[in-house]
Amino acid sequence: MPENQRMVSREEKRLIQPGLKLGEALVQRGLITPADLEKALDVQKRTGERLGRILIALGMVRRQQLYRVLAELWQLPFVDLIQTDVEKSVLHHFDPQMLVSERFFPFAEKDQVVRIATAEKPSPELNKIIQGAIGDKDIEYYVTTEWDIDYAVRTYFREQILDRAVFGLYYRNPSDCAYTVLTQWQYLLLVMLLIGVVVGLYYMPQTTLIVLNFLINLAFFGGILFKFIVALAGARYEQMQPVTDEEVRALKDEELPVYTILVPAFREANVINLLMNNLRKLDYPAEKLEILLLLEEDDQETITAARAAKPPETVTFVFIPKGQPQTKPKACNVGLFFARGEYLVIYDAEDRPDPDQLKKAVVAFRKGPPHLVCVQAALNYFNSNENFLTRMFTLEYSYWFDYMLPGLDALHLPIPLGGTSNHFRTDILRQLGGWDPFNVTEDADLGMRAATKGYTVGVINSTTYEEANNQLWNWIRQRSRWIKGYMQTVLVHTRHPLGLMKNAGLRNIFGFIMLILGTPFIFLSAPPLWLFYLVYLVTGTHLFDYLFPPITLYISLFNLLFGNGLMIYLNMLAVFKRNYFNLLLFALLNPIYWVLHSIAAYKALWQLFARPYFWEKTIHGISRELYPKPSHH
Amino acid sequence: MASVESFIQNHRITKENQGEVSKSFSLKPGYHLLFCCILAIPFIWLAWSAQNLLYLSNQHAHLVAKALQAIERGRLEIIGFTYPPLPFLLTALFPKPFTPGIIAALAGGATAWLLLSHLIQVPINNFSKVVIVFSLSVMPASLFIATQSLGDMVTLLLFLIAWNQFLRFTRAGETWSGFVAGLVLGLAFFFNPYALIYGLIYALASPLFYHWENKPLLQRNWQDDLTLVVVIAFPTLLAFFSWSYLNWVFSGNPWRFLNDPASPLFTYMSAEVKPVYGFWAALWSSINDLTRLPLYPVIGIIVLLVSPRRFLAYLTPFIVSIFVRLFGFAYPQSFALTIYSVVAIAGIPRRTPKIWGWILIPIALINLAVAFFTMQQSSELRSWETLLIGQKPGISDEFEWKVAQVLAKVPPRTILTDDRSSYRIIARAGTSEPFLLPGDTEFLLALSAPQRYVNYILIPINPVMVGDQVADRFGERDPAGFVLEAAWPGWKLLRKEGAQPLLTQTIFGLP
Repeated sequence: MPENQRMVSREEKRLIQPGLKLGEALVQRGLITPADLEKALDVQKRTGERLGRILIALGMVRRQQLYRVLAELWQLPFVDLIQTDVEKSVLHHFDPQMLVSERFFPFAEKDQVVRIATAEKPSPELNKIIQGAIGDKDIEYYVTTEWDIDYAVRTYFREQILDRAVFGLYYRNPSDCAYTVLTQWQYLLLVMLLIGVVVGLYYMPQTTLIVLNFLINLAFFGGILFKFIVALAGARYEQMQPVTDEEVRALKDEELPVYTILVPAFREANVINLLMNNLRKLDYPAEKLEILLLLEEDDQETITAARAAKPPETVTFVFIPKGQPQTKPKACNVGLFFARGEYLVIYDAEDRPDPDQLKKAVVAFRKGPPHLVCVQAALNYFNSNENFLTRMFTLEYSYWFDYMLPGLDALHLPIPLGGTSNHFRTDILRQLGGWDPFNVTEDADLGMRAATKGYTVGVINSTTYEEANNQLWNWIRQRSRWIKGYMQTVLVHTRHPLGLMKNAGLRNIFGFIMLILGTPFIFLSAPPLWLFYLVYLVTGTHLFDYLFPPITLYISLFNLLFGNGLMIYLNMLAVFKRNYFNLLLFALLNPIYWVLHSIAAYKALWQLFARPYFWEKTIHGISRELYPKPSHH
Repeated sequence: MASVESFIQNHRITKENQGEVSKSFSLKPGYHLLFCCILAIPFIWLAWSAQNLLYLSNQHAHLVAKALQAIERGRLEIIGFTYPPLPFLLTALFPKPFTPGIIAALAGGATAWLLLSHLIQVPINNFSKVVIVFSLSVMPASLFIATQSLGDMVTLLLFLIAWNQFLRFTRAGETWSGFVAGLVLGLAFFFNPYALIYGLIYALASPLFYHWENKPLLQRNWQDDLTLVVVIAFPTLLAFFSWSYLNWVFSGNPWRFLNDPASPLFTYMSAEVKPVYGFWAALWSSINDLTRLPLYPVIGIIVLLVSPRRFLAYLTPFIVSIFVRLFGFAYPQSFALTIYSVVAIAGIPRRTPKIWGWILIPIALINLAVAFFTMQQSSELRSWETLLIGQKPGISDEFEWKVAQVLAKVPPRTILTDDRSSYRIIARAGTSEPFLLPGDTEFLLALSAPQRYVNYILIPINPVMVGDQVADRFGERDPAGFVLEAAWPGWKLLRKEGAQPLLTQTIFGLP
């Protein structure tokens, strides 16, 4: 063991002079050198962060060593909660969230004296909080690390944390949760609609089909018009930068708050190493970063790989208790429980965010209005040229994040969140109830929930690069999950239509309908229309002529020719911002891509009723781009 | 790993690789609209004056006739998806003879404002600017296009808008402008078939004009050039192929729209345009146009000296006119002259030395003199000019109007005729109800047995439009059971024996 990282012995404990500062005490102990201290103090001057946190972030001292020295300075005994048996009877006085936020943990009680392990120096405020829970009993303080506290909370409040992570939103308001797939009246309405269509087809088949055809074509027309306007609005503001480089450079480290990064990783053993490399590249003071790696407790492979990657001290493993549903939002809710940062972001395990992304988010929040709850960074792919699928995926995402989202932002329409790189104000995120663990696109749902509560989402000009799905069936599984999630989101947020109108406002509802409802509707409705057209093209039959009275005929011809053409054309926008000119001609192949979407949509529809909470895990780490070709020298 | 990192680095969006927004004359949209309307007032007044003198151009008559048919019969496709469709749809908003004139005038005002906005930023003296604009806008050809040719005028406006956006796309790298330019050019195809040629020219020119410093690339390659070409060309090609497809679906012939009477692409369909044969004839014809607009070549010299990179673009209308005529297509002189006028003003470089302002004044005056004191090539333009100067309705217009008023009162579907020739009468009548036309289901039956279906047959004698089915059937021999009701230059009206006389008593005053 290196000289400066040995544990403090009982003998040495007696050598600490009273009145010493932490840094001096550590030097005296031989745990750090004077040069180390000087370096850390320089950082402290710049960032204003606590010295202990800086020393841990710089890897100069281990957490337990630091707290043992703090215990001496505070003249309190040290306790290792991992090695200590906790008396469960003392726990019922306390709420686990309070323990995490106030950084203390009760571990024993004897003769009206409660033993409290704390990672903060005891203060009258802390006394008051604890006394409020235990009444007239006395308090005996011990010092421990914050990791120990988190570990103890996770271990001894396991069921409570799991319950909150899974059902917290449901307990707050069942209407906000996708645990119920269809409410009674929704179910009734669906059945009545189906019966209505069947009866109509039986008694008035021609009229019924004409009406359905007209409505579907009208919906397509509306969708095309909407996307056209939004995309061009986004292109209009292509050169606008919500956050400038000057604003980022003007940030002082001491002004930066603690930032929590949640990284849910499930069966990602093959990308954990890459994840650690990517996180190290973030341009943010390490001592102000709180990186919580969310690992399913039964995912031994990923846990082993994570440990083997030797993560820095700023990375904490949070083990997600096993339980259904086993979903990313559930894991994120557990992570939210332990998050201490003023802001919080989610990254996937294979993500490569721009180094200054966190700083840009900080600037955006500070510039933005108080009701700005989230800013979304752009997502794009680093393996765009791998095959047809990755090219189309890259075009799609470039179009969506580089043009559609800025267009929605410019037109003050609601912005559906992406799966990762959403930066939140942590306190407001908690107020909103976190993520819905039963919704498989928890991000879209959260964005809508925020809008109904009067909060807004913005965009920042920063990119996170991800791995695009390069396998067809993997892609369909992923896309079916997203579309299923959209359907869930629609069902959840239309439970109280009048309330939705009152709370969200017409503009948000309009955006919600066009984006969240429109997407599954379009992809489910398209195949019958394609079939009509294909049959007509091949056989020249006039069998379907009656389905197209004048207005329907004109709208459907517009959709077929100009609508599809416009959508292909707008997709060509995608190549400009990032100079993806080699992808332009692939925009012409969008109709094939749309067919894949429709396949995924029908899979989603089936799963909505058969397995509503099932999370189709996307396999990552399979791109050839991740692994450079071996040199032949 | 290294390849991924370098990929990310190369595609990261930085401030350096975003172009600057080009500086331009900027006002709030409301002011632009206001100035467009103000500048449209003289054109509106002129259109209204011509309307009051019972003048109706062939193009506008086509539009009104088709619009009346579509509205009164409730189906667009039975009238063959008339081309160009957008002038017709605009006219259908209020299908009266003055409607296309008003819309054309508004488009004229908008074009004038766009040109003025550009000219304001050219550093020549204001007096020169006024003289140049005046000399070009009061040319008979310009005034005719701006008041009597809706399709052509809107096409010019769209070309100008596309040009402005094209410059912003190529100079400043504004993606939005590139897509708007492409869309506008695509839209122009629905006003004029020659927009296809101009659209492709814009597209092919875009890699040459593009300021590649706006897009720092590792190495420019063919895909980068292709991207620019496709972005500009795609909407035009989409418009062309979509319209062809529609024609194929509804008529079996994808190119049917190219010989639609409202879009006289072929010289044999237009009385206004004389065909030319061979390259030299086409060249001479185009040079002849230039002699009527000396400002265009002189400003071309300025472009060559001050902004040589743009010279080829400046010459494009001239090259197009030679190309089109070479292949035997109709390219009316009035359209050519108006395009030259627009390009001449829009093409004056913003860095033009002030001395040129004084040089252009006498040229502009010569331009004006040539425009007014030489004979117009187009007979339609000549008669329009004569009418406005004389302030007296033409005899043929007056007669046509009277005939139309009488025929308008006839019971529905009792006059068999083909709107390929009789569109003027239908437009003047203000209704297509009395007429049994090719778009009606009983038309073919009536052609075979007119006595059973109609009381009157209106037959063109001279000139007869190609494809006029009534003229083809009854031009040489009257059908049994019908007598001659009336005949006047170009027409004869047959009446079924026993049917109520129409024109003999009302117009000719005969018992």
